[in-house]
Amino acid sequence: MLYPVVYLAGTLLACLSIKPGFAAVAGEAEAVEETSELLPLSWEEVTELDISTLSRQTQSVKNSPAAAFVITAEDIRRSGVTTLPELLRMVPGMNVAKVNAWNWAISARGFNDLYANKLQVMIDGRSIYDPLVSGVYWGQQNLSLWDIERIEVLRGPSGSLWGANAVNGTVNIVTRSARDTQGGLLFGGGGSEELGFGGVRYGTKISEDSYLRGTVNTAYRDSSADLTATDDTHDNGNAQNATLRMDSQLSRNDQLTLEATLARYRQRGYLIGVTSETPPLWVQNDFGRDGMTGSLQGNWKHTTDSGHLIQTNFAFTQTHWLLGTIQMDRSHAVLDVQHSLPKLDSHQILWGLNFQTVHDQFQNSLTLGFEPAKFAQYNVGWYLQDQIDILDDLKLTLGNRVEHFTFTGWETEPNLRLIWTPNKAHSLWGAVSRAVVLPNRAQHSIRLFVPIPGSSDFVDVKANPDMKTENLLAFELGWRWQILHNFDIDTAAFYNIYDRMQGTQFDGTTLNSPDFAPAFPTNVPIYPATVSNSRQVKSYGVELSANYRANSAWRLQGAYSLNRFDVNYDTSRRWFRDELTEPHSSPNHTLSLRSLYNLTNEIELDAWFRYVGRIVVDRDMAIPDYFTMDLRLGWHPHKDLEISISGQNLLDNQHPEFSDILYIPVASQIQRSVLAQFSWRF
Amino acid sequence: MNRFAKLSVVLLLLSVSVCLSRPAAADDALVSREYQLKALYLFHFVELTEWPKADQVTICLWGDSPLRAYLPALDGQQVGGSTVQAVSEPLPEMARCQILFLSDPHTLTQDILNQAESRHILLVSDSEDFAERGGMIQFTLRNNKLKLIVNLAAVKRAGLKLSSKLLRMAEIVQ
Repeated sequence: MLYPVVYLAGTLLACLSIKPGFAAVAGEAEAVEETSELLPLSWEEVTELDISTLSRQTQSVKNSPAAAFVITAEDIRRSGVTTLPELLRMVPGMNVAKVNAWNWAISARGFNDLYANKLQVMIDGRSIYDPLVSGVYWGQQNLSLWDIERIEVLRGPSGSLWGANAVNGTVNIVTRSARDTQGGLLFGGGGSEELGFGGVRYGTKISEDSYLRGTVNTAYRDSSADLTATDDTHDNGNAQNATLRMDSQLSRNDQLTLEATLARYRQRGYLIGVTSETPPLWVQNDFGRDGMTGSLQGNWKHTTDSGHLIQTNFAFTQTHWLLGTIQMDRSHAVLDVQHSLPKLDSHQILWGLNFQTVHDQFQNSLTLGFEPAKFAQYNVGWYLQDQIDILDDLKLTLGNRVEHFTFTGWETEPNLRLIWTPNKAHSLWGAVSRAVVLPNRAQHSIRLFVPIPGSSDFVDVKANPDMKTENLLAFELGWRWQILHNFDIDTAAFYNIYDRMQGTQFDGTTLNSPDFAPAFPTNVPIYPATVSNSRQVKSYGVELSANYRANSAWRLQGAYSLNRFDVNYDTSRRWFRDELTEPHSSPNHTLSLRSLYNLTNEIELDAWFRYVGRIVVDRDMAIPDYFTMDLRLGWHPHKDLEISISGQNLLDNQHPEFSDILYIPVASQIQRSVLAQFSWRF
Repeated sequence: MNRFAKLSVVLLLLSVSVCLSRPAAADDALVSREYQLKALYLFHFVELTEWPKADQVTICLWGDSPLRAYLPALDGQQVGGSTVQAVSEPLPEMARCQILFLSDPHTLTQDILNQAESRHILLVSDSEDFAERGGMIQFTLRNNKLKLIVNLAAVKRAGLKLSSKLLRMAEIVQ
């Protein structure tokens, strides 16, 4: 009922404020002032600036009515890390925990889990969140970090633009254009945990306005330590990646990008497995994931002389993987068309259509199965957004998306955002949005039969075909303050109400019956459990990031977040895991502090401190808070050569960050590591 | 689709159509942005160039260029141990300059080159073939970004040293 009223109010406001347009003529004083603001940028950042906008990403972030954060190529290079998830640790509001060498629990604003389901993640617009679990299998994403231009992170809901599952955040990984990656690049390194990694990239011009580049890279990773730290958890493995990207200016008005990716991964590790109906019933063994993902994607941008922009995106992803207990084949296709109209008076309108199909097929086992084993989903969406300049310094954004999903039918994801920029130093924004978490294929059709961690009983989790969407109503407030020309802070606060959140309830106890698992011993207690939309959760928090450029050689960046929960559920029922999930599995406090220091023009010394609060997972496994530090020493002995040595997690021998013994029965600890890297351009 | 979803979409469409009226004024500030960026580059040249002796780096501009509007922003800034001075006079004396931006291609004569060499002056321009004709750093536009063409031999003859950080971004001509 709220939404129509809000729209109407916004419309009236917008229409009342029609006024003549202003011609923006920069005076001399303004030219000097604007330039002064850009002086603190580092050389690398300056060389990345586009002439047409000249706004570095962080500046466009300043104008956005949302909690946005950008990780630049320079941030990536100077982090010393080798994987995507580690980079996200610098973003306020993000929860990043390494489960073992290949598995991560990553979420925004809490609800973190091995299969966290409230984050949309894209590479150049292609969603990499997995429709089976609505999470991301981070271990399958091993693209070369040298190919990334920037990572845009939006906390909070953005369902009206990105659709279902862009609930607590959206991460868009933008890779470099083939034009910007001409020539060769050879990179590699090795160390105590990243045993060896390397690759080669080559970019070439194929015609007057077309560029092509290809990258192949590989990584070999060592196992993590087990809880006693005397042995490892056998989660070593390797991954290979190949990417081909073509960028072409077809005409003055048409731009085409085509990208093909092939990824292979072999991740060892102990996983669950009821391997037979006869004793030993289930074994804990190396049931690691062995898989291959191929994708083809394209983006065609057409601008008309009258200022219309039409963008067509398509992506096709084929995935095949094999675990000890199950095998999956899936085709996933997405087509997205977006039309931005030229600015008309005070209105900036865009709308789009979206179509997606997911076809999958499983080879089920007794431990894990999906019924039906073969299934197809067809989802369609339509969205519309209008950005209205109510006053010179006040902008209103109204957006809505209406989608139809195979599992749940029609859904709507409206949002309203307002930003007020009274002067250059301050901007204040607020938003009210609705977003939905779609029941995924797993919730809809899973059958999971595993021992209950820490007991000899079994749980038989049944899916619920009547699962509905989890709904979020989010309230956000943000304030950005440029305190000095070289010091700014960005704060955001949120209050989220989640309704119909999923939960797993026990339906009683039974002893095994011969028709369930014929050869299974009849005296084994089995707890049947069902997934349903039966809880309400409220969460609130504050996020803060600060940037200080002491001088041209020294930059400091800090990020802090506070997150708390209030969970409401029927305590008279018996619950499976859920009752602890939110308040305990996400840390209350998270802190990141980075220092980027140029000792000379050729030598860089970078440090990164992190604090993550205590969490409790798997009912009673406490993961203590930890404080850790990374150091990196980088050297450019020649204009085309970079060498660096870095140490990660230097403050302790090892520490656990997360655990999910339901799926990965042996908990791991993350070890201190050293790493040497080089990159050479030719 | 539920009733409210439908209603909200209809209302939004309605609001959009009601409010559409006039096209917005064109806004073209590309030229000034380009020169603003060039000013930023000049500023970074101060830290990325090694002069035989310099505790103060003076940036000069010869000729008529939109760059002039942006140079005052650099004046008085501290870089490393030295202070940057940006001269706003139209034709300052060459001896005062450590970085000299020549906006007119005809200014680059053999005499100027000789003087730049003996006085350790970094010659910069955005005119075509500047680097090939013996200039030191030339700005060029490529893919909506500013790129550098560096004549490394000319830089060396003037006793200057450019940081590898700068050269990483540059195209080298002989």
